[in-house]
Amino acid sequence: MEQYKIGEFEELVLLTVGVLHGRAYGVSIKDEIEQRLGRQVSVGALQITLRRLEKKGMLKSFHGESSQPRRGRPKLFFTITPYGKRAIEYTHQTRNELWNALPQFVLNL
Amino acid sequence: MGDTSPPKFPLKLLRWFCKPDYHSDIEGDLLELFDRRVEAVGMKKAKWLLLKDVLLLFRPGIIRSIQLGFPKNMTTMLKHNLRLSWRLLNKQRTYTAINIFGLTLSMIIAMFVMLWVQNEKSYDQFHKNINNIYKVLGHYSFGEEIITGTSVTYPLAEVLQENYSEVDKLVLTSNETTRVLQHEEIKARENGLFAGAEFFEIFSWDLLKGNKSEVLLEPSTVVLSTTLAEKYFGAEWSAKEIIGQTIQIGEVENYRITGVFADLPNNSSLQFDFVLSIDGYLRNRNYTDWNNSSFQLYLLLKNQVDAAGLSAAIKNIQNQHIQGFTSKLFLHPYKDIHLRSNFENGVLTISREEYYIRGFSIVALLIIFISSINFTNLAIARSMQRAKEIGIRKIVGAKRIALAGQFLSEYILLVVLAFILSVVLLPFLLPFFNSLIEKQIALTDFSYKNFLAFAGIGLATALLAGVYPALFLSSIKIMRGLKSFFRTDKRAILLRNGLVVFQLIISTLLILGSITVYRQLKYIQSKDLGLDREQVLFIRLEGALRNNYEAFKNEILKSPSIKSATSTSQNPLNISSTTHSFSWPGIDRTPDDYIHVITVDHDFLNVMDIELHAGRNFEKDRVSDTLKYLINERLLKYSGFKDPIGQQITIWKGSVGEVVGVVKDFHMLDFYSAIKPTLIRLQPEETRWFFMRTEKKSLQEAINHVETVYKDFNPNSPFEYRFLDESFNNTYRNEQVVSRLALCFTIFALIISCLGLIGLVTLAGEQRLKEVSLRKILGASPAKIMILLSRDLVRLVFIAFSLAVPFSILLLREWLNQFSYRVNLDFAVFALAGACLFLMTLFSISWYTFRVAKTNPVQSLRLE
Repeated sequence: MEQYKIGEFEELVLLTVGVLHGRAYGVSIKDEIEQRLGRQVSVGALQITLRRLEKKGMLKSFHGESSQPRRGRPKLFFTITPYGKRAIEYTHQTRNELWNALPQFVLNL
Repeated sequence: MGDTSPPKFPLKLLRWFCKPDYHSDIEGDLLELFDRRVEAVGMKKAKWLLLKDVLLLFRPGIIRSIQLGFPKNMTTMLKHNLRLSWRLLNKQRTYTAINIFGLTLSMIIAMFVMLWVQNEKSYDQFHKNINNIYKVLGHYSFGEEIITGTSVTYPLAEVLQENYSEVDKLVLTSNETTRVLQHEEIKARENGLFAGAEFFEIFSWDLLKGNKSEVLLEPSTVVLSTTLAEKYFGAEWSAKEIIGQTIQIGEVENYRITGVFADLPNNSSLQFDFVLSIDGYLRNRNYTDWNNSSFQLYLLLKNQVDAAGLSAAIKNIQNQHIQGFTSKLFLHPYKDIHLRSNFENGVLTISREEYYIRGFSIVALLIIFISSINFTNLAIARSMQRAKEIGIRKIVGAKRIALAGQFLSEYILLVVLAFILSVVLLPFLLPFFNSLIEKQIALTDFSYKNFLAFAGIGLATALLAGVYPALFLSSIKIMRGLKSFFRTDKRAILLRNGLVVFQLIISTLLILGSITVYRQLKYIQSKDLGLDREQVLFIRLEGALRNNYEAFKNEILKSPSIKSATSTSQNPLNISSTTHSFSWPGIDRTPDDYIHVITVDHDFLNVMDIELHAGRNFEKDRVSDTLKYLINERLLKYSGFKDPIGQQITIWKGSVGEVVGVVKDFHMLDFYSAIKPTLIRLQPEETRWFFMRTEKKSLQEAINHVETVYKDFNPNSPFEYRFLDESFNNTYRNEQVVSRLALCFTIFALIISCLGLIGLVTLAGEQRLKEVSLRKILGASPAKIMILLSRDLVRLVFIAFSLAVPFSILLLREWLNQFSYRVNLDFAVFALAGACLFLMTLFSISWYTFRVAKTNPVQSLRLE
């Protein structure tokens, strides 16, 4: 079986990139996570995770055109690769399996 | 809306550490966030948040891989640089030779001084327990003065052993002493000491035979060095059963040999060839009470004992047992005995040895400086020639850092060559240096640490000398470099002049220093001591000589080669014995005053050639003279006697005597100390040294005669004699070493400075060759041209000299102030040093300027 080594934050980032579909770049991903999860994300932590995922082949990036609010700096957009998709599917599935395996009475404790 | 531009620093920082690929979009994100935050939370907070973000980006995934300014073709460039450097050095042989020679010389000096310092610091460090060994010393008050002594009483050891659990082991020893050793036919005087049983356990002497804890346990036992074992028992002593043999020590006593130790290393401050069990020292003497301080006491403390606390605890032990005694005992680390055990008035001060070592370390450093300055200056001076090269290199795309690297590699190559040369030459020069400082520093003491330090010296020199020119040369602007009239930057010239001045100041200081040291030494040697130290021979009065003193003296005086003879209790050039116990009717003194006392035989004044100031000498036919005293002028002045003759002086609580005469002051202590009030008492029975004045022309005859008589009287002792002037000179050994070393280093420094000047004037001459030729065509005389070329440098010499003089006055005064009797720093010294410096400059530059002035102008103009 294929092994997807993927951390919690990496999973969040992957999912967010998917959610943002085509509009995912540094700031928007950061905003999205902060909004949805209510937790602070530092540029450093986000960037390093994005790059790591890109290196793992789960994300790919392309440069958008430069724009005024960024003082002429280009945006770097990210999209999920098929491999990335499989990775989140896999984690989703394993979580579900675990969830389903959880005996009912444990939840009622 | 105000200024919303983001702060520069965080962005710069990001650019610096961020991977170039990631940089632009990360920066974009940051800026977008920044702009948003400015509106949301305000400028100030936004700036802080930006900085925080940047700092949080500083993590492994983002940071670029380390990449110095080196291009990818590093090895090729390195090869290229080295080859180029080699060619350049080869092409400019004079320049190369000057640099290498100067650097080598200075590195050798630095290496040597380092070895020397290391040798001094290595003293006693070979003992395994070195950090726990302490010596008991005491501060003793003598009036205003506190004298620090090493001798303690015998019972002190017992008290320490019994009452202080911090003390692990302790050992009492006698002072280092000489004894006559005899085994069968072989007999000689050797150096050794008496020591207690734990001597070999506390210290790590290398015991080859015998058991550490047992060798000195029993009475009348002795441990010999290998040298002595070989001397008395033959080269194959180790094959023989040497343990258990007996050896005669002194006149009657037999000691049993219980062990043999390897000869002591030179860097041990205790030096001895045999060790006797301490009972031999105690026998027949009542040394074991509290009244006799004649022992050295070494303690081995347990680990982690607070030595300072123990020092405080034992401070008053001796005072509790001895009435009216005020000594403050304390523990002094044995590892500091060699260099740091000089006390002045109860305070640890820097010893003369350490003072000189430090001084010469500084001098060595300065010499390195001088040679580095040569290096820098010559490089700057050559910048004119290389300006075009630099311009072209820059045009084809050389970066500044690559150019600096090229120059640095050239300089490093030079330094490496010099370094190799100095490492190769050092072993050959070491014997010479050893003879200068009277030490035996061997290359076998050499360790990898030395090598590292040497390499450090080399590298430091290279950087010191090479960095500025490399940066300076690589900074030349393309267009300026390519223009046909390149002129060196004004600032660089100023720097060059400053460095030359600095260099000349050091040279001047060294010249002045060595002249002064030399003069002080000459002064010591030539000053009228108040007694005549030439032609005086002396021997130790002991054994049979002591017992048949009168007969011996009469026999000695039979030879016409001996003018007169006397005996004394101490060397009259070092009367160290003092007493507080003195008085006379109507005396006005404080209890702390003391006078020096020497005990002599008749004829003392005749042998020493000391003049009488008033009164008379001791007279042989007056039996009652044994209770008569002579005093010196200082004592006369101190006493305030109007008419000294006939005054009654009491010393040592009961020995009353009458002053019969006053002698003129003579130097009864070294030149560091002033002449002190001294009393000379007649008591031939209490003397220990026998002095003879010989006829000038028959010295050898006198020695032969003395030896024959000596052998008649005392066939059991080997005959040994010394000269009074020799013992006098030995007192100033340090100063002689300093004088020789100063002279040697001064010469080196001068040579290096001269080389620098030659280099500068040569380059200046080459650059001004056309100007000189034109001037000649227009009618300038060779003399004028020489002046033209040397004027600048001569001016620098003047500036340097006038700056150096006040400095040197300060420094030299301090050195001279150690001496109570010293030369003055008079004008002549400075004139001499100035002349020296001036001549040196002229000499080194004139041979070249002369050559330039004589050249045919056509030769240099023809090519235009």
